[in-house]
Amino acid sequence: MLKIDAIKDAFDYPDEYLVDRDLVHRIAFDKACQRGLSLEPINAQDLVHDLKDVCRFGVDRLDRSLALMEQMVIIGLPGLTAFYDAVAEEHALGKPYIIYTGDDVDLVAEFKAMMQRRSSTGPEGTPNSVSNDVRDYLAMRLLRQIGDELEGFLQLPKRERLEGRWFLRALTLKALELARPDLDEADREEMVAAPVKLDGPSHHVSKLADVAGSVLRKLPEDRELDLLFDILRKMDLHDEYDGTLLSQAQDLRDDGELDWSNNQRGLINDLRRLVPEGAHAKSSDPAGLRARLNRFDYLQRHSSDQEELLSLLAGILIRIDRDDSYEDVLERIADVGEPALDDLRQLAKTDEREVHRLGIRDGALRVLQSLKDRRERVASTPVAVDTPRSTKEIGRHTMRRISMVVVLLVGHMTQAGAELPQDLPVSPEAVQPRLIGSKALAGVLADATGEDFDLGAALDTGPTVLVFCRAHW
Amino acid sequence: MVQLQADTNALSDLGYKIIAVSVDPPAKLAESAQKWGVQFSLLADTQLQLAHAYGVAYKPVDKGGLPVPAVFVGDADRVSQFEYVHPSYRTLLGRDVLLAAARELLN
Repeated sequence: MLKIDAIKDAFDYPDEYLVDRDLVHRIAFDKACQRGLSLEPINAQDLVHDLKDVCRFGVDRLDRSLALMEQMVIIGLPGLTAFYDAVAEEHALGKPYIIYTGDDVDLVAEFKAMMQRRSSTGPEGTPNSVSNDVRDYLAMRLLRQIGDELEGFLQLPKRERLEGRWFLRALTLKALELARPDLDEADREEMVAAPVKLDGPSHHVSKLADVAGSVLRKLPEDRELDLLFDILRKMDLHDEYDGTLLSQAQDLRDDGELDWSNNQRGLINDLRRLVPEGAHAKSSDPAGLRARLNRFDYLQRHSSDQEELLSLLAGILIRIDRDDSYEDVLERIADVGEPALDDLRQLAKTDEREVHRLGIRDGALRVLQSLKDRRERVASTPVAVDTPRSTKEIGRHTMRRISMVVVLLVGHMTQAGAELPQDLPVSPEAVQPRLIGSKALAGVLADATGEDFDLGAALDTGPTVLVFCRAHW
Repeated sequence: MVQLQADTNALSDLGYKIIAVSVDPPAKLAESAQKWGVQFSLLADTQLQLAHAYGVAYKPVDKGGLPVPAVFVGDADRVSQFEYVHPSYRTLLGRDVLLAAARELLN
């Protein structure tokens, strides 16, 4: 049920109030206030609905939008996806409300900044920045939306396709702007121009569909999910990092055991993105790099051995010594920790006479020194808050967080050692709920104050809604 | 939880008592109750006794136990008249469905 319908039903308004949604909101909220009720947004859909309204009507746009967007970031994944779904739709259809920047307010940039403020990663452009992932996710999401719109357009009857070819042209241009930033405006315009030698709009439609299709076909399948996971993983200053965000990340990975401390996939993804296109051309050891890259790509598809993947990545990255970003890359190699050591030590022994590989040798020596410095810092630090990133302690996962994860798990499910009934099914699909028509069961459980709560007595007071929740509320 | 809280007034107006059960211990429930301004009863089923009795608990190998998301709507005679049980915690009962069922059962 749409919120507007819920409001209408709740206050028994006649249908004509639906004509003006803003009017309905105003009256409904006033009435709700008088009656002590709340019709404030309670989920991502409500939030994005209200955000669109605020942006559309433009009253106090910045402050009200920021408040709603903050709530969207707070609730994590549903908020992020709802926001970017709306942005992508507006972008594809050319209806700028949230994405409107004519008043010098860039809400999309503000939203990204909210996530950046909840992350200890560096600002956009620096390696590993959460803003990089947000930027990439947005671009991917916009392209995906354009693809969806294109698909819908191409299913229209021929006559409507021909009449709507200017919409298709606009979509194609947007796809090109996003996917081919290497082209200048003139090139893009030429790619979407009507064919000169062929008469009739159908050729134009075919050409546009081909151009858009060639760009959109290249979208990797799971890229958005990986980026969303990384965004969640990097918002380590978020109040719900070890609660809601972890749970959502488990959901994304379909891995209920995942916790921030033992997952290396995010680090692997981060590091893989540092490998440039044509990396072997930016290496003094192209053969060594290519062999490791081939092995990495094969293993990533066929093996879950994260240590070997990390080791290979370190071996790849240390060899792109002719890349402009080599300095930044060296810092990130140290994040790999122990799996990087064997290759680095081997490279450190490179003979002086192998002149062409001395750049790589120097890089290896610097990373080894960086790892050594990190170890010494930890050894001299009584509190383990700056633990080096080693095989089992990746990224920013401090001992403090590991202990918080333990607390979280207690909150999410019963402790492994708790005295549970012996005959519980092992999967949620195997539960056998009591049937409709069964008598509700009585019993005594502790309530939120720790006092005994007599369920039987409560059931006797009238009709009851009994809700079982997964918890961590 | 937030959704349930939002429906509390509507369900209460219909005469329903709302009871929510989770494996969280009382202290955690109290924290949640304060955080969300909860106006219904929260119960701690830390050993899944009630969830097991209702047949909605499970326990993966080598892990703790959990209930699947479940809603039982009972009438004044304690008889269950409407149920929603789903194996995935990602799929929750729609608010409009719960309210519609609650209303319908009173007719």
